[in-house]
Amino acid sequence: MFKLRTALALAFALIVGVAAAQQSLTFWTSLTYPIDVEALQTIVDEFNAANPDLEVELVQVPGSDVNDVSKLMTAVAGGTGPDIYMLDRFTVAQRAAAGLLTDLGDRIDSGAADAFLEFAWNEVLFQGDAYGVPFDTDVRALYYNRDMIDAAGVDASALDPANGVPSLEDVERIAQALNETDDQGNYTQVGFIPWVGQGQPYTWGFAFGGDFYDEAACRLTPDSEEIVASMAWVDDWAGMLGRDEIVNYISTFSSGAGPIAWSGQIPPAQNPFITGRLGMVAEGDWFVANLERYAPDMEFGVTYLPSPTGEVASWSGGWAMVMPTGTEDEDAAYRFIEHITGTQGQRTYAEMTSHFPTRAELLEDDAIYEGRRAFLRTILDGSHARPALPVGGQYWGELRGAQEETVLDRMAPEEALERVVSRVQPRLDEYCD
Amino acid sequence: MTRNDRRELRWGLIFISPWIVGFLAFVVYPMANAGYLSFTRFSGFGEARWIGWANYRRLFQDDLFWTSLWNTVVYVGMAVPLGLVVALALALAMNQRLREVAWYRTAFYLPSILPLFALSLIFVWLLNPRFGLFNYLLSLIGVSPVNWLGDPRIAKISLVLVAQLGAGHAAVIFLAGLRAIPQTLYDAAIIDGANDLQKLFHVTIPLLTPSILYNLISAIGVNLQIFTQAYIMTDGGPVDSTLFYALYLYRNAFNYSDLGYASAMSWILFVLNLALALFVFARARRWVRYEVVG
Repeated sequence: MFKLRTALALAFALIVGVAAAQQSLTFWTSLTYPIDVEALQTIVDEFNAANPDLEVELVQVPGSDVNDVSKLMTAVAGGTGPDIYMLDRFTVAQRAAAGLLTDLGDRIDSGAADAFLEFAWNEVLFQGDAYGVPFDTDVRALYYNRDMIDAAGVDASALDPANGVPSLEDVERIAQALNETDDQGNYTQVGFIPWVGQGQPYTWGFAFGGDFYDEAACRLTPDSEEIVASMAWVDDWAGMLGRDEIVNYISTFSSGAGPIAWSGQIPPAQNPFITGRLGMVAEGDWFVANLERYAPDMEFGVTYLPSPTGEVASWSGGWAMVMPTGTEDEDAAYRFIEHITGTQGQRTYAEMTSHFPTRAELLEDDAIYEGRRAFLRTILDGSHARPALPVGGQYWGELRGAQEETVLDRMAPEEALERVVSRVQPRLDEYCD
Repeated sequence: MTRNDRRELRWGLIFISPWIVGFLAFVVYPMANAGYLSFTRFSGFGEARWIGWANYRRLFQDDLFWTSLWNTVVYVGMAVPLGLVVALALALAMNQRLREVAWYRTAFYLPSILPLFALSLIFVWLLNPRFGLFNYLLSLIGVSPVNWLGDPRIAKISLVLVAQLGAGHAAVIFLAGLRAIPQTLYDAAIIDGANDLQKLFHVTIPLLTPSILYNLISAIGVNLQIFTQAYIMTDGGPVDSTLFYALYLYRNAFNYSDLGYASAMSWILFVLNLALALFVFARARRWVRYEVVG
């Protein structure tokens, strides 16, 4: 009897001891691309192995996007939020303004800012305080399907990066040669659709040399000349393809997303470029890894985004690691944030996903970048960033709405972009001094 | 009130007390709280700041508020009458004297208890303009492809049609009403020489009017709050054509962290719904027959 009791007591002590020694943390991501999720899991495993007292669990919470973080909001309000959350970086200010995030200012070394790319660091600030730590970044470029271009027999030398930025006319000429229809007039293959993939209003606005925000005046400027011109170009392109016809074509691979189909809304298996039904597309750097996995036999090339200015232009986004309000053990959560945004975490992510790190020292490490990625890295130098505003998500959503109105020919580009100002500026005014 | 009455009242209250507690905690309290929040600036975290009628004033100048209200009214105008007709047809079918009628009842009712989001996801594929089943069937009779969800002129109608899968709930209410109509009335009608259509319009429908009233008022309430299909199938698009009231309310609350503004929207919807229900109820005296027949 005595022995049994001792054994039970020992077992109990052991269980309690282990449970006390190992603290669990929850880490939420809204990413769904398998490549990205695998990379995050690898980083989590590395951290767990090196920190026996902590156990981080990666949880996927799909269905969240730039604007919709309702899962996070309701969980945090209910006291069941994650300890660490991966947030679209340009919305850090917006969520911090709502009181959803913990101020990390006291924890971050004063010199930390210098370790990160400047734009990335600016995006995690709200009223001068850091509410997150930058993780990765990216760039946008023009991808083209070489097999398709060869089959059409069109001269595509303009798409060689060695020949600089392709002109709008070059892209149009090549695209037209790739369009194919069936006997009923339905498209079966299309050369280029500017607003598919990563062809957001920001992409073409920056490519046309536009500026989306006047910081001195605290005013949104989507109605500026260059951005209106970029939207007019998209508008002309939709008219050239035939609006009903092209909208029908897009609906076949992005059911429900309407005439605008962005890469986040299309699973790889339906992506028209991956399935060989679209000749050229504006996409992000991560698309290299996606193509290598989902279309291993495709011969594809990457070049600069077409532009009327002849200058290299792109924009960069990326993610930040944040700590939602009410995290129980901030010290433990911050240890993980330090790891994943640190040199080792960012290197693993960059190597596995073909995203770029935000730590300047890693960007200079040539060993990480080869072939196309070395080319993409050159674009990063002159890349723009979206204005990091407390209304950033809504601004993004309304710009998308304006593009949709334009593509469907329900509004003139200028009118649609003026509506963006009239809807979002009043909300921004609350934060202007 | 006699001692007996009092005792019955006490026990009655005790027996429904779980419901009373639930009603107070999950309906009355949230509504009152939303009423308070509608006069504040509140992000969902931290303090709510009192701003008086500012949210309501802002709403009336918000073009998306009017767009979403209009979309919802148009949707209700289509979905409610169609829903009643479909539910009645289903109920009549479920009421046939057939050996296998239990199977039909199950089949007709099943879509109503399936999760709405699952149905919505499936319909995204069935409605695909190139590969969807619907356009394939239409192509067999020579109709050119319809862009069900991608065309702003059609998307609302598509959602109304999909919503008919949920007609089973109303159909069950109708079925109960049909069962309550005495057979003697039909026998009398037959002796008078009435055909099936005359029986439907002169016996069945007049005696179903209490069920119709109930289903009408419920349908107005449910359809004013349409959300799931638009959220999953169209995300309010294309070009805001399916941006319904509840979806815009949700965006304000959870996308823009403007819970005060969203609360103001919810109270306006409540008042609108209540007014419509009272209006229908007041007019009901003219067409609803409650008299007991026997």
